[in-house]
Amino acid sequence: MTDSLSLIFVAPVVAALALVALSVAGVSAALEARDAGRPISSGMTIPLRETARLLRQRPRRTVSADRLLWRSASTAVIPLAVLIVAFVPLGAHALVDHPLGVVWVNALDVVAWAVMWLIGWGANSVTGLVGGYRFLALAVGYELPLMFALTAPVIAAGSLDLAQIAATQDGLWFVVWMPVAFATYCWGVLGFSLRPPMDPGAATDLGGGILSELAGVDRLLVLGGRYALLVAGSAAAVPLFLGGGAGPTLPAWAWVLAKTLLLSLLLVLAGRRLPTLRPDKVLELGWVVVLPLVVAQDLVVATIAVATG
Amino acid sequence: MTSTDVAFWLCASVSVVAGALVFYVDSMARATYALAVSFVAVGVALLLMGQAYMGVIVILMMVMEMAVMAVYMVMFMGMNPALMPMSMVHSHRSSVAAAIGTFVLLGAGAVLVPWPTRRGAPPADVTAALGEAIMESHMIVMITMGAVMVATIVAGVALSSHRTRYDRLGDDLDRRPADDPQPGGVGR
Amino acid sequence: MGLIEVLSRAASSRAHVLIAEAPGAFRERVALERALDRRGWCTAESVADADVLAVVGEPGEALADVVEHVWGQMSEPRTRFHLRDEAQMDALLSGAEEQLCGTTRRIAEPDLRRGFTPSADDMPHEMSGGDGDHQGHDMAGGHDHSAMMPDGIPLAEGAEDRDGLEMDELHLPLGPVLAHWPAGLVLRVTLHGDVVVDAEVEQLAVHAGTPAAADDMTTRAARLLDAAGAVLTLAGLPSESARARRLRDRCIDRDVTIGRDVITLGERIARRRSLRWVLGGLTVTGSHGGVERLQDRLAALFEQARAALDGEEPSPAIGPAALPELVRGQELAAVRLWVAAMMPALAVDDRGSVAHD
Repeated sequence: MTDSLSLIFVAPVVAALALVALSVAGVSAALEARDAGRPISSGMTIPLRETARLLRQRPRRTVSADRLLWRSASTAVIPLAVLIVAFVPLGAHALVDHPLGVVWVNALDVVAWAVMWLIGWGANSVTGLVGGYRFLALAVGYELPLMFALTAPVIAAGSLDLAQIAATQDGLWFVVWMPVAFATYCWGVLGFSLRPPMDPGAATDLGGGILSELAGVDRLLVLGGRYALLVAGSAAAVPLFLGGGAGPTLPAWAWVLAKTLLLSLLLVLAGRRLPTLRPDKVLELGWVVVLPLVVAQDLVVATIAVATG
Repeated sequence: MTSTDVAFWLCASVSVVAGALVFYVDSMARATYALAVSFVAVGVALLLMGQAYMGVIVILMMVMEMAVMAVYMVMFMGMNPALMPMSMVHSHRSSVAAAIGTFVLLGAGAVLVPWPTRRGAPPADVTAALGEAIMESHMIVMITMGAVMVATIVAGVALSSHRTRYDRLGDDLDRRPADDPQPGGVGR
Repeated sequence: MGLIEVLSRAASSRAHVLIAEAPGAFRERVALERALDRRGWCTAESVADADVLAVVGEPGEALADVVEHVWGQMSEPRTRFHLRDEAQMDALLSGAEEQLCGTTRRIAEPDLRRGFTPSADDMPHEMSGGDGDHQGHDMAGGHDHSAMMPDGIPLAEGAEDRDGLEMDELHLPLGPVLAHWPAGLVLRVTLHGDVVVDAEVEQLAVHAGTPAAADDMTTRAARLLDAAGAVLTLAGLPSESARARRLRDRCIDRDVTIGRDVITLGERIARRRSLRWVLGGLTVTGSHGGVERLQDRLAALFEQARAALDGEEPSPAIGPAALPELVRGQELAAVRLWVAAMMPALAVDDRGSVAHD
């Protein structure tokens, strides 16, 4: 882990993550406000008002809840997002420069499996439990395609280092010639951040699923954590598919920020238009349709990589 | 005692203690995640040995396995009390004896074997060197073996399923849509 | 204390309201939802999410008990109000906002309230006191039940589920205070995992003084559009749901010219392939043996709304007694969707009747 950025950059990176998450949440709430017939500007401040509301609210306890697992899982969501962002190169270096950055990002999004299920389990409530298992069923469906999608840029760049992958895209971004991998990756990001349409574990038809028994700070941490994971996943997509910090005029870190913001907004807007996907649908879709397509994509990428030497 | 030594002993003790906790905690979920903590500590120990790829893969795979174990836990264990005293052991005395015996044997081997001193420096790409040392000329066999194993697992599950494709698709394999208790999303 | 005040004002400008609707209070509930939209508040999706408890209409005794129960489960800062008449609404809402703003957060020790235990009504009377000296005393069967009842909740019994695995049986009462759920309906389901294997329906008795008013055509149409909006929200399409609810509001305002808009919206939703795919496998077998799909039921809601606005007679209602048979074998989320889709068909008349199956 040489050449990493010094630790004073941790605070700005976390602040940037929070800012982007709040903006994305604001846009989502603004659309909701427009649906309700109110002006969009009133919607943009909703995330801040919700934060104030949840900070004032008293946390709840349920009977025979597994408090250790429940609380540790609900507090772990935001740190998970921060850790994912730590591997994203902002310019030449990341907070944590690692030659195996891609594998670490993948390992972190698998930890989300454990975290989300524990939030559902810990509350000792039927809706939470069912929500946690719906999430796991979905995760089994999207995770393998996600892993294969991550392999595509790795094959093209010949390295597991995010900075190296970003550098190899000088000229042609990977999103242009591996669109299937990019789409699958985005689908996976929506999955591990439990955002619509991949949110059966936390959806309205289950009374909130894993969120149903959370109140106060715990609820804030998980709701905010979902947005944070979405932004972190989008940030990781920037070096993988969107050329890293490349772009005219602005410094590299500004481009990474801009691309992260744009991709997160795109994911939120696209997600709102789709109904909540049910796990039994997604499992078959993921294994029978998406996985073969992504493996075929990997084959195409590998052929091109070998052909161009 | 360098910081690596301290870190290693920490990981080793966390791993053993968490592993023992699997049998002492009061709930299946806690047992599962105590096991996950134990495995993650082993992964960190591998990272300390300079095997970065092996370490992170161990962590990734083990967390995913523990999460999937939560599914099997409910499927096959039925009564699954949360925070209730439960017993996770069978044939108590013989398994304790076997466990202690194995630990003593392996520990004695690790401590008493005269390990050679290092000659030269570790190669630049530790993972590639490890891979070559284990697999040597059989590398391509090992690579295809992975795909073959996945196919075998899928085939085994398909063969052991008590509903065959004739149950699903009718005697002439022409019933559409298929007769499934839980229809999937693709309409096969 | 400037920061705390700013925080309180911001927090109470975005309160989440849990609506406890009594049967017969449909128009008041719709008016409340519209007022919430105007204020920038929203409806809560669960009890944990709620700051304000709004009781709408005149609840009967059973419903009032449930409301008290729900009130006990809400986190501070919380407030409640009782809406009987649309004219009082703005005053009540402003009052609630003031209350929320003014409630200072108690930093005292945790407010331990004894909550709901699922089979409290089944347990012998001696147990519900929770006194340690009574353990092992007077128990049926003789052995120490307290060891098998952590915190007073008995362990689940196992039973074979549809795949032949032994799963715990969970008992869950759905409703009556639940979002997108018919007023006064309680559905006690027995779950294997998340699949319903058995259900019991109960319609809570209405308050003695409620007049049995029949719905006129615009109210009927509004109920149908409200149900469509509920299904769309539960399916995860908030913008389409908002469109349906806007049409519902126009119905309530006695605007009968919206027949075309209803048809347009219905067709638009029927055309959405993603919705058709997601709702695809959800079918119920009706009592007449026919298989009905949820997306057909959703389209029928729009069709019936248009018919109601044209003055046609409504199709016969099926009544809540048919519900347990319909939900058997569905998964929990699908049950919510089906009950929302069948809301107009279940509201036989607002007097209700106690139906057991």
